[in-house]
Amino acid sequence: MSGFAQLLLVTVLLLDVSLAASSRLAVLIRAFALQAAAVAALALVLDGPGNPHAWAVASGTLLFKGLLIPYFLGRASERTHAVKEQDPLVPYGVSLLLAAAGVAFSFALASRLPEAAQRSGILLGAAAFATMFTGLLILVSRGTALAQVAGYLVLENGIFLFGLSILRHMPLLVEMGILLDVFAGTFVMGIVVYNIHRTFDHIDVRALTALKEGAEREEGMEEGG
Amino acid sequence: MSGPLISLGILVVGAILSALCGRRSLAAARVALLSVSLAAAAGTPTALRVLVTGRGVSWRAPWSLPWGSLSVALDPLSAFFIAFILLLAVPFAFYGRGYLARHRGSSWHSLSWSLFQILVASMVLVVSAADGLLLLMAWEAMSVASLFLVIHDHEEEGVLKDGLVYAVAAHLGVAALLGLFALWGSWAGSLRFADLSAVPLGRGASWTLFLLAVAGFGSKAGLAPFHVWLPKAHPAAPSHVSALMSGVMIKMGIYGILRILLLLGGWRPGWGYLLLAMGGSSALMGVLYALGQHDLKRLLAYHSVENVGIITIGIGAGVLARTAGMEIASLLAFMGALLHVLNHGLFKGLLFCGGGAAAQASGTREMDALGGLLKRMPWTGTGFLIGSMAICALPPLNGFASEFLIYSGLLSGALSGRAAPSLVLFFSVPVLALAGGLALACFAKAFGVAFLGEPRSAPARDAREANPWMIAPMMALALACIAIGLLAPLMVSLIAEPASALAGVAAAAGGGGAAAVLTKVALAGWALLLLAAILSALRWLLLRGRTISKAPTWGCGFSAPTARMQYTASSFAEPLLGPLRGVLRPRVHLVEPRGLFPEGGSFSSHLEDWADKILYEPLFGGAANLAGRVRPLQQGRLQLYLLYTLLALIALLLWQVLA
Repeated sequence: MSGFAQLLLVTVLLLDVSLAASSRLAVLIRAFALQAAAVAALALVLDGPGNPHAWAVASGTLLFKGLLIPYFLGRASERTHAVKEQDPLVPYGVSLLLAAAGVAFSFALASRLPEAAQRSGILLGAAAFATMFTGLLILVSRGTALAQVAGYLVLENGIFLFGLSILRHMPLLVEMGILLDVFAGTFVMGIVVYNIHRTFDHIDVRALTALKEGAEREEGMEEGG
Repeated sequence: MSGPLISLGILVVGAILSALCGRRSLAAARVALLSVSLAAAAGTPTALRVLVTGRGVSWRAPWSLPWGSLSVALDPLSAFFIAFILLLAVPFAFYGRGYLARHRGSSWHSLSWSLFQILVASMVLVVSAADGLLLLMAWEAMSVASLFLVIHDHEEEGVLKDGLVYAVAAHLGVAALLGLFALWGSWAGSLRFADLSAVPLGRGASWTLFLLAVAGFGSKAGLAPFHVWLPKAHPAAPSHVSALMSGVMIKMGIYGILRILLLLGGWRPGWGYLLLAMGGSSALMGVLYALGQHDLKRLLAYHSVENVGIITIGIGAGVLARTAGMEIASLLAFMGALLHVLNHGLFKGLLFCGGGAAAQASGTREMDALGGLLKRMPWTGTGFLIGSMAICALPPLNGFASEFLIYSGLLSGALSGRAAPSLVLFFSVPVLALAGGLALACFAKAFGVAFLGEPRSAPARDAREANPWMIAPMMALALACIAIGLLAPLMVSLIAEPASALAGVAAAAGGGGAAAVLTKVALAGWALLLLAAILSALRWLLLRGRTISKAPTWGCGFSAPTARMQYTASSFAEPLLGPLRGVLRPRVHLVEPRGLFPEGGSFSSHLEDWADKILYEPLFGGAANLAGRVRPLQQGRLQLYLLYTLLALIALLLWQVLA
């Protein structure tokens, strides 16, 4: 693995830690865009720049995940006046520690991967796991819908990296399909976020507990059993 | 084989057409009547031919489903049940046409007609399947179709809850059947009946299979302690569905037990003892709980438990007698059981039709609000009376013939003097007799309270006779009850073949004994008819030329008689249930009259099912309790659910890392 690839992977890992601890939505979105760009570059570097296939995958990833989606997310955050998450479910300090623990666990996991997946070095597998954990951590710890969308997207970055580590040549069609999925998913989530905002006047998904099954007859359940 | 297959086709096509009728539910009803009648006309001749000649037919088609084969076969046992299902579905369909007539057309009714046909078709497939998987599929279709028929009146209070009980009971039963066929199939390597019966089974294996079959099929048949769904589902369903379910569908459980017995072979005396015990307790418990009921249809439902118990006594006696080498006793018992299947279908259908008509006309099923209906609804009342007499096994009706066959089986086994089996068969006789006697008391109560005396409520006073669509099927069923009682020897040819396959003797060898018994039964019936004719002639002679005055029933010379002076359902049952209070534990509300001029006093008793209270409430309460402990996991928070996923993932990965 080239030194450049290693540099990119370390960038991805550092961005993971930064993502886990950033309270401002704008920073979150920017860090995600940067990570997506790094992942796109990694796809190009690992597959060799002479490969037109790798160019297509890298440029598609950069276009969608590095530019278009961050742009949409930024606009959504402007329209909903969501700037910063004040009160996350897990405090940022704890998130930071958890993300660091996740990176350590990822290295432990990556060293246990079967031979075939380790061809490209332990760093790639570790970065993939760490990014997935970070995405899940964001999903679990944040209350605002936009941060959740960002969490899903970070998770997808990790899945992409993992794909790179086990399949040398990611099939073009599969990658394009995933990109389309992510794009459409973000689009739908943007609409949902907008509607949550219009209905509840904020985008805190914690308010959605009112939709839980049997929420309105909770009292009756206590008595009747 | 083509006949029943054509029936199946007709019913399926009819079901689709009915479902397509949408809001025109009258058209859906017409389609259903036509398809059920055509199916009966197409399927019955083949079934009867197999039944009389004893030569089975089979048909098999390739099927891409794994583990299953589309093989259908008709042996005498299947043929008996096919004829039974197809012929009985016809009057119930016609009755349903009249029963639903007062409702406005709705797509829900069309759907219910479609389900009615699916139910009939699935029952035909259940009894003709020669493959475990096909049987299970048909069985499941039968359960689901009947479930949706039960919750037909889902707007009414409590119907959905009763439907839920039925759904749970049906699926617990299927779970046992799945276990049965999965185990057996894994030993045999195939689920075709021919392969299943060929596999040699050890003692433990055959006991396991038999117990699973009894639990699975017994829960559909309503054998105690699996009967709890019957008194809930039957009253909730519309009456033509109650009639079809109670008269026909629960017999699929009986068919299942008989079929598994045939396939297992190598019977063990223990099975006979077990079936006799279950049958005896079902018969006694069913009739005792029926005595304590106030809801007319619930009372009838408990009588289904009783009659299934009687049938099971017959089967148990047959199994026990055959293992002890008493072929004739075994044959008589099996013939009695089979004939009782048919008879119970006829008279229980008739009773549900009559009870349903009475309840519909007076707007309530509470017996204490009925009364005097015989004067207002003479046809329905007569039908109900004939059904009541038949279910109490009074000669000259059909119930007497089949129970007499079971009695003769029990007695002939008891007198052959083989220590343990004979003794047990002997002591089954008083059990059966006790159940019969209590049934008589119970129907004296049901008929007396609902149809005789004076109306106890305004709606009962204004009750009008049911429409001809409902009366005609009831009369047909009543005539069939009378005809089978009076022409009992002719029935031998219908039940000899399947019963002799079960008893393991040639039909020709053993059929004579049964024919002799049934001839006596029929002669007794004719003699009784003659006696009744002589007595009524005598009455006419004595009353001739005298003035006959009519007074209110229970008037008794009081100056101001009221309907409240009559016996109620509670008070009628009290002398019988009183001594058994320690066992049955009814809930009694008693306000004793006090003082010289008492102002008020009241008494009422309610009987709760023992199996419900001791067995199922703790069981399901415990399950609900456990489920309730897990409930805090559902907080409605997306983040928390994702956390569960994350934790599960990390746990799995950790396991991999550490392992």
